[in-house]
Amino acid sequence: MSAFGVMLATLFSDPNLGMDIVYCPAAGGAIACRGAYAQPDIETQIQSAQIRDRKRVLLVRACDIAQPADNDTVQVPAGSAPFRLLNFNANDPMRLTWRLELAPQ
Amino acid sequence: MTTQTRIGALAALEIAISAATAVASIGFHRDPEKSVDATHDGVVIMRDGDPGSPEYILSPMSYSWEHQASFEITASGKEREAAVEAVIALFEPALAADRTLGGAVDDARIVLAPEIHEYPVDGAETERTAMLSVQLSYTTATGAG
Repeated sequence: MSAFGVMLATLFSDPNLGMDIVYCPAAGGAIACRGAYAQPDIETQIQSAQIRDRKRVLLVRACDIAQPADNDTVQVPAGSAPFRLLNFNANDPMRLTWRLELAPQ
Repeated sequence: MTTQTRIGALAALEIAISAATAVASIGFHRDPEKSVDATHDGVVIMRDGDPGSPEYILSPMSYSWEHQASFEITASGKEREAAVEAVIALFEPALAADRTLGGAVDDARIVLAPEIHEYPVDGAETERTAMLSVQLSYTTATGAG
């Protein structure tokens, strides 16, 4: 494992940053792993109004989730109501993490 | 002597539409100063809009307006299209119940089809918005409305 990979493993296992999640591919085979979750507000200019919405962004390691796909869901934290996957992107130059954008079902 | 005013017409329109949205538990804001929370059920924002230029009526001197007030209807989530359409459907019955809005205007009606846009939001659900114009026809005693 690269030094960057070791750092990610340490960060994701830290209880201040990471949490237990369950990734549920639409094809089946739930994966229990760690994720780093944040849900800051975002304000968007829509017509003449400022609309405030909540971002739901989850970072997961690519060694846990090889390839996210549309219609997958995620329990954040594990055991809670699942979120649906809105979008996903590789989050770093080495493609060691995925940035998942989530929304309520 | 007319007693209609621009302020009175807008207030009556606010009352009519906010009452209809309240029944459906839809949020309503008129010219909000602050940000408005996105919802799956939809939220309505009223803008006072443009009174335009009046037509002059002589003897007694009065001013006839066709004022376009606008409403922005926004909803997010998978069912946003249905949510926005459901909110749009509240407007016509609310106006048809009393086109004079209790005497505040001579006529109030939707004159244009809604203008609809989708706004993708980074990290959050796409917002769908419909812009709806309501034309208020009223006559005032002064050019200031």
